[in-house]
Amino acid sequence: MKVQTSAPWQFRTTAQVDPNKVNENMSYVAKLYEDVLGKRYGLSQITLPLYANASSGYKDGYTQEELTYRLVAPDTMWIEGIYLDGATVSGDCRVFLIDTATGLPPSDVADVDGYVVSATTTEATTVYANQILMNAGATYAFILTKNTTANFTTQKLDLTIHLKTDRFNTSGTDQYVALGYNGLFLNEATSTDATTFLTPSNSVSSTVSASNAQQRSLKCMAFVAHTFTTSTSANVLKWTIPSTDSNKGRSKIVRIDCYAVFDSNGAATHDRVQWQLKDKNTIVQLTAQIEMTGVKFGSTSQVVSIDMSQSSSGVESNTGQDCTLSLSRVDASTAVCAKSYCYLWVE
Amino acid sequence: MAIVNTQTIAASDLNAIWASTLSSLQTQNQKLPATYWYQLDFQDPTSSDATILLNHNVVMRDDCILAEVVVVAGNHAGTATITVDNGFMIEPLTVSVVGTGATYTKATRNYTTNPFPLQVLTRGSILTVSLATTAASRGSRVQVSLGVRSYWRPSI
Repeated sequence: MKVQTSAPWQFRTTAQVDPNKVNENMSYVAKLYEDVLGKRYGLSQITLPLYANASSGYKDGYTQEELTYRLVAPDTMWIEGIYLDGATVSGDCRVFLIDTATGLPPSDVADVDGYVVSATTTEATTVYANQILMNAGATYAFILTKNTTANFTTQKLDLTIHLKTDRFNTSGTDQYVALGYNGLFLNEATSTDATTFLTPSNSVSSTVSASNAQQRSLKCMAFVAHTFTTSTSANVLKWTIPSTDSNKGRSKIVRIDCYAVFDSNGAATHDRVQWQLKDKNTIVQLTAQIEMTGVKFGSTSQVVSIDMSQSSSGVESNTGQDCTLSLSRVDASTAVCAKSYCYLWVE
Repeated sequence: MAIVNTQTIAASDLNAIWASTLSSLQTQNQKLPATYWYQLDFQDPTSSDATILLNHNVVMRDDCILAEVVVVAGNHAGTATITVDNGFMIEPLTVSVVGTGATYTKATRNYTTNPFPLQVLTRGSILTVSLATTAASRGSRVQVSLGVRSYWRPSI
């Protein structure tokens, strides 16, 4: 619906005020209110590989954390669907979604027994369309496990998660104010008081003005690296966050969440993995280090979550100038990092 | 002059009563969708890999515009060609990048060269991103970023 900045009926000084014309103007505004403010949902999707690389899949002999992807919801959001695509080398498996605070699936998960990937060496796809609420600040985990007693090895298995955000509900409470029609229209019983015109118009104006601030609708980008050491080429552990063709099309990185898990190899008890985001001027905007201290590898992942909303309004690329995300090992250790992954949240 | 009791209502005041509201609604309605980059990587690909390992099939959850496909090859010794297609596109999109081993190579950006045909991806359609490579050895990454734009939705 096209928005005009003047109401349909424009009154003239010498003309009588027709209440019906006033009502039509109010009706126009009311329809626009519902149409424009009704556009509230944003969608994005991420794909997480449930295999290490082209020559190595996930196996049930791996530690649980190696078979897990954790995800923190910065704002209230919904999983709109889960899509599994791929094949196994042997065995079948399933993906469980749990709330890490309870260890149980979220209450609105329809497939409490998990999302099954049947044993097949032929590429198969499965879609689970189930709206699942993710509470702001809560941590969720997607865990790959056996489906039966048989062992499994994935060949190529992509877990795609569809996410929906609501700009009027970022913290669990719906902030949308429905526009009531009562009292907005003139009739024979309407008093000839100035407030007849002013009260509803001021109320609508302030509500619409407040909605201007509700523009945050986060989208997610995911980056994953498997099985890397201190000798792994930096060119493999670097990602470009591309610039856009227009400054108007730029998205802004407002948050970064990073995770790392080490496998059971190596004897070191102290190691660090570092994700670093550089802006268009190659200036480091954020360094997130994940540290394993005094813990034997294989059973634990450390988490660093840094909210970049506290920085200078986030990081964004300019036309022709990319941002760069890089991953590295900080310490001179021979231990293998089984997996490290990072989520960038943009608006 | 504001509308107040005991004063004649000026036509201009009556006309202006919704001005700020309509201006705010127009601003919100004209909010352009930002591009976010949907990532689909190929880690350690080689020319001898099975087809299943050289493609990603994803179902799109939203009607959206595919603004651009960006391909970057890290440590890739060979030519990597990415094809993006969902069977309904105006034409499948291909982007190639020639890696020379221990380098980080970005493919030429589409928006700086040829005009990009409008590509609309529809909700529920399956998008296939496939890789053809001449690289014979492992130890590389081919990063694919799909620039996706979509408007806010009134309902899902």
